[in-house]
Amino acid sequence: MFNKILYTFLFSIVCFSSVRAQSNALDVIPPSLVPGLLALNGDLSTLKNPKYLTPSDLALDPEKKFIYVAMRQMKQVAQFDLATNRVVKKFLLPNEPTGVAVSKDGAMLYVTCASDRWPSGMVCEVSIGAGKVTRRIPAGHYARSPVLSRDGNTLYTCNWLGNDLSVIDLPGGVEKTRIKMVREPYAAAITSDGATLVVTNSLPEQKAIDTISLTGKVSLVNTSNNTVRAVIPVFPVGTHSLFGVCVSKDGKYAFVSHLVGRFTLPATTFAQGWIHSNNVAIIDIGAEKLLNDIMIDNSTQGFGNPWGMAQTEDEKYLCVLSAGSHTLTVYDYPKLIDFASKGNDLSHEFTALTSIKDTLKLSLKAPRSIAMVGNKAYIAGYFSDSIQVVTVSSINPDAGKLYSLGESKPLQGEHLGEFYFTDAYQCLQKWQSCFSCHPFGRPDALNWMLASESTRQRNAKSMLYSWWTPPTNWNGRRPHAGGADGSVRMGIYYELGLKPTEEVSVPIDSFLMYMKPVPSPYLVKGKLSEKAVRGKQIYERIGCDVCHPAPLYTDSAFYNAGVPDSLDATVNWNTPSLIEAWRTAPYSHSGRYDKIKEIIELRAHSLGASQLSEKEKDELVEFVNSL
Amino acid sequence: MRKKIFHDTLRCTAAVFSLAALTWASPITRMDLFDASDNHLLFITFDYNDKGDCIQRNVFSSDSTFMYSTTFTTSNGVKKEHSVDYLDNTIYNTNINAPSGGATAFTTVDQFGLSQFGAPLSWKKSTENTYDITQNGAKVCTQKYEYNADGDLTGITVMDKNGNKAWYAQIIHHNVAVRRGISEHGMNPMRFSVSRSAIKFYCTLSEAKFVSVELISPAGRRIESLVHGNLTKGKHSFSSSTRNLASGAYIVRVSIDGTFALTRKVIVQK
Repeated sequence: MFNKILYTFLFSIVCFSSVRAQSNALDVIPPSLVPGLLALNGDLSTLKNPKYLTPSDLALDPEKKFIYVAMRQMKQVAQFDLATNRVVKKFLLPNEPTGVAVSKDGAMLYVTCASDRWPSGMVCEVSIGAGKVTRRIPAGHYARSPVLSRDGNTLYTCNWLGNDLSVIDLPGGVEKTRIKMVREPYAAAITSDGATLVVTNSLPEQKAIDTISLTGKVSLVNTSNNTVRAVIPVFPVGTHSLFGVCVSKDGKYAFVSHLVGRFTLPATTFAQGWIHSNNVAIIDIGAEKLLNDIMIDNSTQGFGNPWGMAQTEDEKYLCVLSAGSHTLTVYDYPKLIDFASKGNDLSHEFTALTSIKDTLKLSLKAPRSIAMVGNKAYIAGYFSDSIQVVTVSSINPDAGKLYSLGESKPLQGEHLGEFYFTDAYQCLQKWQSCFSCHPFGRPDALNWMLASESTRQRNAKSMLYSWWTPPTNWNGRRPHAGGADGSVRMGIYYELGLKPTEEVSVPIDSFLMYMKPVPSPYLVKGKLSEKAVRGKQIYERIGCDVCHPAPLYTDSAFYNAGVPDSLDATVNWNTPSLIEAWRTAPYSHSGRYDKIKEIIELRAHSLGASQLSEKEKDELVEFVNSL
Repeated sequence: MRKKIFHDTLRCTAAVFSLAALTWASPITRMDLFDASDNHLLFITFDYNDKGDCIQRNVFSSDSTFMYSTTFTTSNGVKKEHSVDYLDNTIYNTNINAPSGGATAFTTVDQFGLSQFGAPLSWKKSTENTYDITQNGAKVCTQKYEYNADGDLTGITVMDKNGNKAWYAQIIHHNVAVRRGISEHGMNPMRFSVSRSAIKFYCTLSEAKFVSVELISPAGRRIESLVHGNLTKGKHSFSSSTRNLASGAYIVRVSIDGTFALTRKVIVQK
């Protein structure tokens, strides 16, 4: 009896200990932790972030049985069966897929992954049979647009915000080398012989005061020795947002979609591409030069924000998507090359190509990616949840059908705002969208004379934190990003030419409010480098934080920082935030500096900074570039 | 007869304390989060103060890129979590409210006060070790806490709203390091470090003390004495090889001036 009592006592204590243990665990990992963490990491769907499919890239398998669809917010790649036109399999990824390529034997996927939260890029090798990631290979900052070499042993990735190209040895699973690109390499395509990789640099790298040679560039990379063999400026002046590229089947030409910003003109009207036209550059790969530049737009309507492109397999047609106007423009390819080769500048020519092209309104929102199977174009819209299959057997293709990629969800909140931000339907005659001057909410690297400014050029500003650092504009003319007289509504009115509605403006407000910075490529494993830590000490010691105080690194006040400006020599300018300064060159209200160091060397801007040693200046620059 | 009862009581009491020591929860030092395809998404490390209270979480992406750190306070029944970036600037604030109607609501806003979830998420215990997460009354997911026989939390499985396994977390206890000071005995800080090859013990004494540090097997047998003697004021460190030890849980027992001070479980992994 006594023993029974004793063992009961013993058992109770053990149970008590066990309960105590569990209680301690719940203190450390409360039930809120994992769901909260998953929601903030973009994994768990919540009312605010319902996780849209956001198809961002397509890749065809060698046997042409499947198309693989990178679905960013879902962190998935979907296998779309071309026989049944439905998704038959999905592959989970650790981060958002930015691009997808299929191995030569069709057994593996190579998926570039990166996101605004976690931009340090990687390539995930996915075994299609096993349905899992089998290897992770580090790549560069915000890796995207994976392209396989002809032998299938090398993978190239555009490290978009790292300004370089990764060359990855697939058998070894390591990055062999990096090749410096011009600025923000966004898309790449390889010639059919595998000898040349064509890479688009999406933004110009020059000072914005350069009105002679400021253009976006296309880099030609020799794959035999991984060197840049040519950098081709895409004229006319003001080209930017080079987001799409394809190479002709014969390997002779590369086609690069882009905008032409006519930034030397006051932005007072829209007609006939006065502010922006939407163009395609034709690069003669062998001659390493621009053959011609053609306008996609019609004289009375723009086809804003051109993106993905593809040639039909019979080589008869070239297809160009316009993500802002949600259209597909089809060119008679042989005639296009014929016209383009005659030597006439077609970059602002509306009539010459009318008879050899036509444009189809798609049922998708923001069509950005296209894969061609024979003469069938499979098209995905970034803000849609379907694939549209269009048969291109003439320049007037049939609209075809939509096939679901997964659960359909209505756009709402900031995601709806992001859509409107990219939507050329919010512009008179669809010439441009907010995204045209502010790609991804950041500046296009150009100076603009806005309609209500008339005579003065101002460097385009980033929208990041614009909601939280009023007033907006360099001269503070608009008191806030939101509100009746704020930048959103006035931007729609003056820069897009339409009367702003709350139905559109409020979601855009939300998009701007929620924008988050992308961690800088200058950070080391997410933290300041030792050099940047020293730079931070200098930043605080010499008082940079007086006008650029944390956490937003601006005091929102107005100063004349001594930037030479003969027309506005005495004007005070709104202090810009330094967050993401690493990606927002050129600097100052007039865009006359393409490096942070040039600014800090201005005596009138900061006497203390201008007197630093070269080493200290470099450390200060390292810190600013880390923000 | 009385003598027998006395000895039985003594033996049982010893056994109770031995078992209680075994079931004492060891600090959680790391949690790794995976999706249903075993993709490693991110991990968290946990920091503790000298009293053994968890005072900070650090979130990293799976390639060890730092994302943010979180500290905690409690006020009027509301637990507040404050998350900062690499520059110590606020990026999130989370409130975890006291249960209402059996459910605990939590809300995360960014540095500008904007909701990151759209509406509060709530958790409520449904069955033993299982918690339902809801938002505006609709189920978002369910998570199940898993414990080993020692009562240590070893993992969490998260099912989506349809009941499919969507994510899981693996919990690592103090096989990497344990920090715990024993201020009341003049020993602070104190730290264990257990690796594949050695167990190390570090301490700082505020004055001279008699210190004994022993490694005990799960069966209660003393395996090793790291130190047993008078130590002077100041810093000390001792180590002992774990090469001859099998993988598994062991007990480290620390006594100061002959007074039992602390018993902690350590895990040797090989």
